[in-house]
Amino acid sequence: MIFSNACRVIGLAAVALSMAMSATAAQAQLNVFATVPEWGALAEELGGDKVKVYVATNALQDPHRVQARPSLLARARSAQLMLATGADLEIGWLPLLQRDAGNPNILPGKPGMFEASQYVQLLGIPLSVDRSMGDVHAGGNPHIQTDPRNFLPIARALTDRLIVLDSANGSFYQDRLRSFLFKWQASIDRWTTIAQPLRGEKIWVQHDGFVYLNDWLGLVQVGTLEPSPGLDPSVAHLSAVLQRQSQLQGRMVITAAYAGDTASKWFSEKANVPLVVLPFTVGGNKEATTLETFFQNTIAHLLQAR
Amino acid sequence: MFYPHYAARACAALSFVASVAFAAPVGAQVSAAPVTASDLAKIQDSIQAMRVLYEERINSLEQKINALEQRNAQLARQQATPPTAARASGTAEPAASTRVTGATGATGATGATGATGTQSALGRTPVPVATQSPPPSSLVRGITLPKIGPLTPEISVIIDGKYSAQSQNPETLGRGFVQSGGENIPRGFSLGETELALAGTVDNLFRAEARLVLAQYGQDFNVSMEEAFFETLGLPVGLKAKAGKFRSTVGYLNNKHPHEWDFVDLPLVYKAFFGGQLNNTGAQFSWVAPLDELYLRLGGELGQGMTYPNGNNYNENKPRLGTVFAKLGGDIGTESSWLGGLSYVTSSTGNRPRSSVLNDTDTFDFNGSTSVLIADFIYKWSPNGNASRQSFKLQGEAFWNTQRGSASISSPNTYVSCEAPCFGNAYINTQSGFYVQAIYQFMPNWRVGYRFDQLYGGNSSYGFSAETITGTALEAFNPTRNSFMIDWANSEYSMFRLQLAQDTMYGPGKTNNQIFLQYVMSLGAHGAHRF
Repeated sequence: MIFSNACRVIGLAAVALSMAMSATAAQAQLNVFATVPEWGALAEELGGDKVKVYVATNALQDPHRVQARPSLLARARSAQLMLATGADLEIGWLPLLQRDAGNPNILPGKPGMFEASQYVQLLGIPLSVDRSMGDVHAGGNPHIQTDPRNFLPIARALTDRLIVLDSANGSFYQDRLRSFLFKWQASIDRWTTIAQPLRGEKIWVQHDGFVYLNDWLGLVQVGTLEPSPGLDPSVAHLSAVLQRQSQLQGRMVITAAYAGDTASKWFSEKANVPLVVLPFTVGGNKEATTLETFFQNTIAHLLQAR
Repeated sequence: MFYPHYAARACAALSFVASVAFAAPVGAQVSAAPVTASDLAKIQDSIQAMRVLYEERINSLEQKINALEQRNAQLARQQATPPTAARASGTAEPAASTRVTGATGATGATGATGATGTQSALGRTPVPVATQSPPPSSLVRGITLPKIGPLTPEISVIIDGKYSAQSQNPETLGRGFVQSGGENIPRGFSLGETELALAGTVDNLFRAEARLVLAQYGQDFNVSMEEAFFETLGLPVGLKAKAGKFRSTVGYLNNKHPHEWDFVDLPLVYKAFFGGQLNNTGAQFSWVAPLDELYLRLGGELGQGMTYPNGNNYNENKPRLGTVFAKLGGDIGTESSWLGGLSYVTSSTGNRPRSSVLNDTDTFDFNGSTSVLIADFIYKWSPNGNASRQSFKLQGEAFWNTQRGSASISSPNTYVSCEAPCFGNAYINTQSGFYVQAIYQFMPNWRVGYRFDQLYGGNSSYGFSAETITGTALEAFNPTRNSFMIDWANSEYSMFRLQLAQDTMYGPGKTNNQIFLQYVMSLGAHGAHRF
């Protein structure tokens, strides 16, 4: 009696509130929930003032280890478009948002769920997956944002999706896409030319997060400091890596801003090679504030270390 | 009072709205022999080659369709004007067939050589921008890797083993509270609960979970159904329904599985007032409010009520356990987040009295109603919101327990001033308690924690004389417990813990000094943890 009454009140309140919500949503901006900063930045580039973007994480947070905290559930509840990397990057928290936020628009396979990794060729797909190998992603390496060329097909697909969800502004999105593609292609050409001296450069990485960057710039990754993805290297392991350096002759050691530089700093000092802390995504350092400056800054750091 | 017509209509509407959804395949892992980098490159090349092959095949099929459509159109025209169109269709047919074979021939060539060029081509191939809503199938475009066993649910096994040394026998009856099997950990090596869980999406609208527990009871192992429930995925506007046997969402720790606990055992309030965790067969309904900044969830549950604090309400028309809960949470800057809750549990024994242990030989039956009010909070902090190196967690819960009714002791023994069967006067039990704990992760993989537990016996009157309850579970007492732990996790899937505790639950002069060593090993798919 108490309960059914309470349920009824809750139900009525819910219906009333949701009607109010949908009424305002008609004129409002498209609510976009981006799991990581790079897709948030891309959504803003492509959506302009027609989208309202919420970014769930910042560049100093490990995207693998984010918690499905209450504020994320609250944002996911009203999201009209969920922008994620996919390829299991957000597997520790995104499924909980999809399950518990009470928002069927962002379920897998719905137009409101967009996974960027579905539109690019993934690299580093393991043949076998075993937990002894650490935090390996069965679908391939998910850190696709380190190659600017990946943004071209993703931008096209994202525009398609924006138009599906907000067809009234279709031509607006198409115009934005056209100017983005034009600008972005020019930037890629410029960066590729500037970064030409990096081709064939041997590098060490702390976490295996730069396969796409390597593929783009022709960097040769001689090894990772982590014994397996997601596991912190011990001093003993680092010493073993250091011994291999005498043969492999890596010219620099690269880490991401979020990952902390304890291991790579140690290695950098012992091996006497420069340590390069890359922003890894938008917001990873003071200069990398936009997609454009993120890549500019990445290349500047690499060239400086050379 | 139920409103079946209202509910039925709502359900029909909701399922219609939700029926657009379709389920994504559940990822499964591919296993094979160890590989070298060259093998890997070969595989990647062949996958790329396959892609090219498929794309060519799709192109050729599209061309085929175009050719057939043209032919259809020509046939239609032919029917309208038979004599002149006959020759046109005769020439169109061979042209179409050569085009198709041409495309198939090209497929072989590109498949062999085109693999290396795919990456750059993919990045630059212009994809036409859709001008109107495309059909759902075009939404997921690009590379979809073949997955083995996409219909297999996530399977996980969690082994939770312990070694313990204690200064008191943990089977000793607790003092001051109506204990009800609070799962005390035995001395020596024990295996506690080994959990086998299956979870996954049922179809586009439902998700289900089943959790079997192999629990050690004394010397034997029994299989029990810990949880088996389904929940809705497709309900709109923040609504969610859940039914089956599940841990109630009341409190903070109530629906956390043992491997998620920060200490080896449950807080005393859970042992004293729920006899473990509140877990019932029934249904739940909840709603998440559409607030952007704040998380607000309201919900309620209806349970059959077959365990403490109910009697055995099996095979009764009327469910006798109800709960309502509210959760509120959010962020403070980027470094902190919090969640608080208020929950209320009400139950009655109905016609089936609850039998509880009074002392080593006797039990007593309670008939009446129980209500528990719970307030809980948790606060989490980490530098820059990045919890992988350093983090801090402060958590606490308070319980207020009220029981009203009557009790009777059935015993062959004669109690002072009470003949068997001994019926008491009005039974009024007002007890409360709380715990508060802090966990600090001081470096990757290492955490330390402290927990303080306190229970208050309150001004309870059970309707029996003081002499009757002296030395029994009902004799008033205010136990406390101090616990300290340190744990090390090699990965998300393995953890070792040392816990030291001093527990006064067993009464005056019976302080239990405890040492626990625990290991938790998770096999298989490991579902994401809630906040």
